Amino acid sequence: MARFIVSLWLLAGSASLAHAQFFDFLADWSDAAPSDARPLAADITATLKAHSPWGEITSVESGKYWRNSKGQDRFDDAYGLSEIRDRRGPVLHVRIDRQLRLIDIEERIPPRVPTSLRIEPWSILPFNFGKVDPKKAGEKTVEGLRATVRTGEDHGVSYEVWTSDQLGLVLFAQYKTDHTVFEQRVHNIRFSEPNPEQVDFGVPSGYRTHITCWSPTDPEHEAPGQTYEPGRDLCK
Amino acid sequence: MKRTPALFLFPLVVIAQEATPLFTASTNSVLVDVAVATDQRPAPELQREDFILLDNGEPRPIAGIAHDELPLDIGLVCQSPLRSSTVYANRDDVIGAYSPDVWGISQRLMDAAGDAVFGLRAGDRVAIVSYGRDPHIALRFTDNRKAIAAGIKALGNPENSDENIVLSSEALAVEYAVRMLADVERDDAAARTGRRRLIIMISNVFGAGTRYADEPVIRRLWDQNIVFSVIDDAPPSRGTTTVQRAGGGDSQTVLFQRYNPIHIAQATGGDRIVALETQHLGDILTPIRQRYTLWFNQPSDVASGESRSIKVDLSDAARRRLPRAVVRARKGYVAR
Repeated sequence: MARFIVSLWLLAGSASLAHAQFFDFLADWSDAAPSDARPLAADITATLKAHSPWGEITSVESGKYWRNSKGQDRFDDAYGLSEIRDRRGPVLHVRIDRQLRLIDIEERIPPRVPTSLRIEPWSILPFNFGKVDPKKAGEKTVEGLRATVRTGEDHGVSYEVWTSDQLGLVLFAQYKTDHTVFEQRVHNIRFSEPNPEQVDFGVPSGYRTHITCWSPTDPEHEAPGQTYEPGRDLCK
Repeated sequence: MKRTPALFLFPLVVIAQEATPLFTASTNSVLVDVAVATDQRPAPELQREDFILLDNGEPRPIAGIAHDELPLDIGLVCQSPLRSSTVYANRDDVIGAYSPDVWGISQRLMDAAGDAVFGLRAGDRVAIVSYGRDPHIALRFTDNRKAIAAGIKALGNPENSDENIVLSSEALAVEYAVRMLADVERDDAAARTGRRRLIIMISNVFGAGTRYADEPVIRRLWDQNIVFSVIDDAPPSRGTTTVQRAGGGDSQTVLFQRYNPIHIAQATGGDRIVALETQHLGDILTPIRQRYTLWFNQPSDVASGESRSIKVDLSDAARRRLPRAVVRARKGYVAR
């Protein structure tokens, strides 16, 4: 074959390099029921700013959070991923990947981990290095809600988290490294029952499922059946 | 937003040893690198009519095909050795302290990195990005083999250690590699099309790394036509499944726990290499180097910036000739 190289200059044109976006969102997935269990909806915005050799890289992502009066939560990111938590019966954590048509269901029987690791808001952060010593740094009023402010530093990463302890909701979380600042903010909180026709807390059908269970002797094992049926104990 | 026609601004350039181009392409052409392997050997001598291509599920005519071994620009992205034993206490499924032997850069992974670039040829260039909390440029693009070897060796040096990753570390390190490739392209205008661009992540946080929405990363790699492959040293486990590899053979991949690097590799036509699978080491570059390049015209009514899916497979006739062939290509592109 003749050796040739085709060069398409249009394709060689650079796309915008200004933004890179790459976040999951942090939400309070603690297993304890909040004292204020009012249904609500909220917007979530995550922002990353990173100093780089190319200047500042900024990324902004948005998502949605809902909670209904039945003890179910749902979080959606902008890319077809949903996290659903259902506290009715055994606590179920459901991760739905609509792009890959996969559902990952975990049954969690609290407390799954030592209480000391669960009660602190740091447990919602994706990096808990085990020496967390958060300090209460006062209170704030955010979105009309009273929030406890906690700060800490560990292994060169500083944290600040504002929680509404009554709602069991992280209203603001931030970490800073030498070159990166990440923030997640919950805002536009509306206390109303999510419209079930618009917000589905159920598990869609036709997806491939993977169901894992918890027991004291086997913290993570596959459920005997791998088919989700509402109301059925998945792990018996 | 409608795409702005700009044919005259970006003329087709053909660089040829034998000057006659076999195909023509227009400015809305999309390049797709395709690996075809049978029994772990690249399938040679395939023609345009041997392929079918779907754009958002609809067949599109393939405007041209080339099959040439091109030099590589490789961005090696590797986690730094851990400065201290750390704990991922918040992950419900991963509780406990891990030693750097496990969670730092193990010798096995270092060997894998060395093997991965062992197949470098004259003209290939390598850059290295290391990352802990933040990414760092460890080596700028060079074709100097001694410098590349020294750069890889330095990855395991405790002096280059860092603390464990945070949520943004991994994707930001990939972004660094993408930007370094873009810099190369700015300085060498033929780099995008006269070379193949690959990011190899050396990962040691299988199953315990942070999870993030990786669609923007995938879209970024699609836009830049960069293949992403990952090397890790995790054995098969629950929630994994076997997939066919671009170079032939099988490999384990994670199905249900979204392990981002594997998902990105699948979407960009790359490979996941398990460092434990020694028989697979060293062959990561060959399938990339020997890929076919197809190009097709994107539909005229597509909005600029729209993400669109691509599926490339063999035609029925080619499939009858090569029933066991594995076809690997990126699964999408960003419309111009």
